[in-house]
Amino acid sequence: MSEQIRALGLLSGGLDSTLAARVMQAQNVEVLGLHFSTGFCLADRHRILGNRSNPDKPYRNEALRAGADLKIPIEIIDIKDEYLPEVVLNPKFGYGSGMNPCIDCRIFMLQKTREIMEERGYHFVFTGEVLGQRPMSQRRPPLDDVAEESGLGRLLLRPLSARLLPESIPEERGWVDREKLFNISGRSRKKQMELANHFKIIDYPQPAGGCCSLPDENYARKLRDFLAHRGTDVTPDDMMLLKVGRHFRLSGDVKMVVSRDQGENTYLERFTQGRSEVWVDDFPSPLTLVEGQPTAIDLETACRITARYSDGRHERTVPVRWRSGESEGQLTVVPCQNDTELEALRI
Amino acid sequence: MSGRARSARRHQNNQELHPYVHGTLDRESLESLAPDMQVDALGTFCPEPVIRTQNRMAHAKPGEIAMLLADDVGVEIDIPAWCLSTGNEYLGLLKAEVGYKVFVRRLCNKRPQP
Ligand code: SF4
Repeated sequence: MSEQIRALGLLSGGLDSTLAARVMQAQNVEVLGLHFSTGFCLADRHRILGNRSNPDKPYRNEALRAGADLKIPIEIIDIKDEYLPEVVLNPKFGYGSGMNPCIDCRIFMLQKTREIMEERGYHFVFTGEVLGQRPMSQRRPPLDDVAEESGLGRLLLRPLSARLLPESIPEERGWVDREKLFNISGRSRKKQMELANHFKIIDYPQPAGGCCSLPDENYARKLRDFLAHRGTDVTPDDMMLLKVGRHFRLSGDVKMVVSRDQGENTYLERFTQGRSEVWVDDFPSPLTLVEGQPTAIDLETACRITARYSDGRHERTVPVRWRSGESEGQLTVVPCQNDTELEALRI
Repeated sequence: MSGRARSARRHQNNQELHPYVHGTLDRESLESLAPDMQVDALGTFCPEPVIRTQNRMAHAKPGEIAMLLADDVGVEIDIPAWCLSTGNEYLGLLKAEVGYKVFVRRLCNKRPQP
């Protein structure tokens, strides 16, 4: 009896990685899908804010959904602790549009995958990467860098673009049939959609948005500010707070986060411990969290900005409540109307 | 009424649960279950409840039952999906005082188990 070929696949749950896994299944390869949790995923934010387009339905984890649909076991690998210092802060291959070190990120995940492959006796690794699809990480040179630097070399197979790339070991050894792999390239998803139809894969996420916060410029700005003022001693709560709200820096160690809507109010209410709260009682208002040790001037500024984003913004003065540990109080302030002041503080 | 008080919490525990996936046990059976292990993921969000369940279940014997405590509303779809993919049995979910109790039985399966 011939040996069962076993492969590890990076599975984000997006269409490409789902298809790559399905293509491997079609070639009788036993697949274990690995999904990496970096701490920069937007899933936690989505979960707290709720699904705005369909409030009755929570956001789903697409990798788990794909695993359930294809009956592929999914293992989630937690790399949160190493990811920030080892990948995000000093990327060898630089950043994309935000603070996304996509090439280093792929290398890091594939190094981990290689270790698991070696430990557990898998034959090879595959990904859903498509040649030319992403400007930073999926051009030919980065694809080669990723294979080389991860230590996988020719043991890394990209089933969707395989016929445009040099032959890999799984193809050479006949573990998979190169003729049944694909030659997809570029940014159009037309061929992937045809393939999805062929495999009757109908339920997959749209490409827009993504689930990583690092490519987002606004997020990147907040993260850079955080690292500059607080260093790399980051808690999961710190990371989650960067994902919502308007952020303003009042001084070196004092920063405020103002919610933008009801969902974000609820979100911020989870993070009040160790932070001062500011809100308006008389009008619908955002919840503001203040980090650090605010001076009386900082607190007044926080109250004025909070009043500005409340429904009392056009009032001459607004009473604003604050709570800091055991102390509570109220300040009556003129809502901040000065856009220049606001922009100077905005992160 | 306070402005802040007007902001409704979206995922309060009394929201109606939508049975995207039914567990294999009914409410009465779930209430009388004696789990072999408890996984506490209260206050954490996707994918942490699944990671904790997966890591705990990796050391479970076939037939053993884990009870996950979580307040991430998404566990009601994530855990059934994880069970479907890994070949474990999703027994069902109960609302708890805080969050949910989710029951999973480790099955003897041939698929690789984390
Ligand atoms: S978008 Fe985020 S998770 Fe994806 S490769 Fe880039 S850094 Fe990594």
